[in-house]
Amino acid sequence: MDFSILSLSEFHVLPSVLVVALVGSGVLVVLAVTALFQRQSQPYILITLALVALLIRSFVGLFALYGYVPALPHHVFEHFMDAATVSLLVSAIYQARTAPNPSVNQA
Amino acid sequence: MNETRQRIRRYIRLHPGVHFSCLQRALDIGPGQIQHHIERLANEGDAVSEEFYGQTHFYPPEYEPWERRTLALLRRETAGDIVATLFEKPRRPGEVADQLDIARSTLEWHLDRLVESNVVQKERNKQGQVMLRLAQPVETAQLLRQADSSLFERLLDRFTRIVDRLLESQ
Repeated sequence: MDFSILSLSEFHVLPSVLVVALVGSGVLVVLAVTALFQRQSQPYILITLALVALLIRSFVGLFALYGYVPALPHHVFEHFMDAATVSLLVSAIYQARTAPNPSVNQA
Repeated sequence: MNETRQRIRRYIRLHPGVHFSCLQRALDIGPGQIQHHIERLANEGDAVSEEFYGQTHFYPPEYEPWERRTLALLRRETAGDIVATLFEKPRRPGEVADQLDIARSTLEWHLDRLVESNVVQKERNKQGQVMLRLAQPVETAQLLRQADSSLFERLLDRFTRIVDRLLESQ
């Protein structure tokens, strides 16, 4: 894989950064899935999926670093994941305004 | 009584409503061993286990069903905060949400469970407005002091608070 755009020190720091991102997004996904089980609402499904996209992104980064995924597809894929994360978050926020929530109106 | 079983019994007494996984971590005992000792304790009437919302909690035997359920609910930080605002006097739901700075959906989600378990009661005042009051303030205060939550439970509670705020429609 071509990492020539990175300096040597950047290349050495990259695995640690990827592991931090991986662990962090892993914790967020576990929290989101548990919260989804509790709330069972559409916005929570979308937020969980957005965080899953973030987790997949970190995985792909790590795989690319060790050459399991070629450089160019990995870049395209990561930007695709960014777009997915953003779209899911925007639709979650949109849904929150439009989805009826009967219990809120009760009190 | 076996020493390990004594330790488990003592821990449950000090931390009523503790989860299986917390017990395992706090006492550094394997899951198989805990399972075995809990069964023995339950058979001998020294502990009670009950499942609430997908989690098994352990209690000393003298805890009544209402106390067990309430304690499980109060492990959620926000539920504890909501209950704490009602000790002084009954309040309107909007007032509680404003005071705690939480989304209405967060408040309603916790209230559904607190009302269902008869910890909080919803009633109407003379003007026909909904008021929240504690069903059993003295007992609830005692249980709130005993309730403690794991790091994961606290993170989960705060995660939903933030997401609800993000999604709040006003």
